[in-house]
Amino acid sequence: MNSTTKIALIGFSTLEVIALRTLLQEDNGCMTESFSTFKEFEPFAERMDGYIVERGIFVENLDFYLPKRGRTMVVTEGKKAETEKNGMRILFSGEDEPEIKAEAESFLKMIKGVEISGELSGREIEVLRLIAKGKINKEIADELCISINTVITHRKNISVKLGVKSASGMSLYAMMNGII
Amino acid sequence: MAIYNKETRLTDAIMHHPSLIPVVGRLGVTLGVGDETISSTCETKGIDVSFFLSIVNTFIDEQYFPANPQDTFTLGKTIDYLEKTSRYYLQSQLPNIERHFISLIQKSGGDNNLDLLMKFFREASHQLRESIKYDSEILYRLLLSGEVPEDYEYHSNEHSEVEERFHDLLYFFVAHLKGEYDHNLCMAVISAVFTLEKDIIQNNRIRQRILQPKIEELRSEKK
Repeated sequence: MNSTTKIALIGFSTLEVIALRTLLQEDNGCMTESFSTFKEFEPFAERMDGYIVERGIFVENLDFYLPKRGRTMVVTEGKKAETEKNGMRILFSGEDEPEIKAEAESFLKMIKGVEISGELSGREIEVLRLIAKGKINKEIADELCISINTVITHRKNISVKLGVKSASGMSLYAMMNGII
Repeated sequence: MAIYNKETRLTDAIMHHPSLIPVVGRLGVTLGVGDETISSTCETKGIDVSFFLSIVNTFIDEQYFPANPQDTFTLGKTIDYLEKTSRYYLQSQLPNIERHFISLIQKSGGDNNLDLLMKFFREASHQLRESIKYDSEILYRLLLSGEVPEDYEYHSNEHSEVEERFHDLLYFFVAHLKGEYDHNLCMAVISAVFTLEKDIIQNNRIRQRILQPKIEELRSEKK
C-alpha cells in the first residue's frame, strides 16, 4: 500500500545532509528532501512522513514538532545524555557509528509503523465482523471482553486502513471481501 | 477573515467557486448576476447582506467563522436556507444520482459489483431523507416555537454519519469497483455523488456555525 517513505531534513549543512542521506537510504527505501530553514520546509510538511531536524530549529518551532513527536528526530551535538525530553527521539552526532546507525534505523521503523500497513489484524477483523452485524460499541466491547475505548481505537484503525468512515461502509467492505 | 465582502463582484465569487451556484439560489439570487457587487445584488433582491456573506463564506471556507451569528441572524432566515438546501437534495440531487445510477447499471451489463454500490447508495439516500424529515418535521418546527428537542444530539450525529456514507460511496467507486462498466455514465454518477457529498459537508458547516449558536442560545434561555 505504501510507496517510499518521505523524510524532510531541516536545517542541515550540505555535509550533514550527505551524511544523513547515506545513513537513511542504505537499505530502507526512503527518500529525503532537504530544507535549509523552517520557513522553506513548512509548505511541504504535509507531504512528509518523517522529520529530521537540527536542534536549534527544533527549539524554535516546538509548537510544530512536539505534537509530531512520533515522526520527528532531533539531531544534536555530543553524546547521549540520560533523558530524552518529551519522549522526543534524538540523534547525537558525537556518538559512535553503530549507535548512530541503530538510532536512525529505529527512527525509520517508528515512522513506518506510524504509516498504516493496510492489512487488518486478527482482532480488527473480529471487530469488523461485529460492526457488520450491526453491533454498537458497547456490545462489541462486551462480546470481546475489551473496553469501549479499545473498540473505538480498533474502529479508528479499521477506518484508516480500509479508507471507509461509516459503519455501513465497513460492512460493505467486509461483505465484498468475504469477511462476513 | 472572510474571503468575500460586500464589494466583491458576485460574478467573480461564483466563477471562482461554481459550487456557490445552488447556494446563492437558495438565498434568492438567480443567475445572470451581471456586473453587480454582492451588496447591490442583495439590496435589489431584498436579501440581508451580512447573512448572505456569512452563508457564502462559511460554505466555501473551512477556516471562516461568522461573527456572532446568534446576534445577527434570525432563526427563521437560517432555517429557511437549510430547508431550501434539503429540498434541493430531495428534489434534484438524489433523484439525479438515482437516474444516472439506474442507466449505469442498465448499460453496464451484469458482470460487476454495481448492484452492491446501488444498494449502498440507496441506504445512504434513505438515511439522508430520514434526517431531513426529522429536521423539517421536528427540529425546525420546535426551534421556531422556541424549543430544543431532547434527542437533538443523537440526530445531529446522524448528519455526520450521512456525510460519511456518501464519502464511502465515492471511495467504493474509486477503490473497489469491479468488472465492466459504462465509463461515461460512471463519471456522471461519481460527479453527482461528489457534488452532493461536498454540498452536505459544506452545509453541515453552516449548521454547526450558524444554526448551532442559535440552538445554544435557546437552550441557555430555557435554563
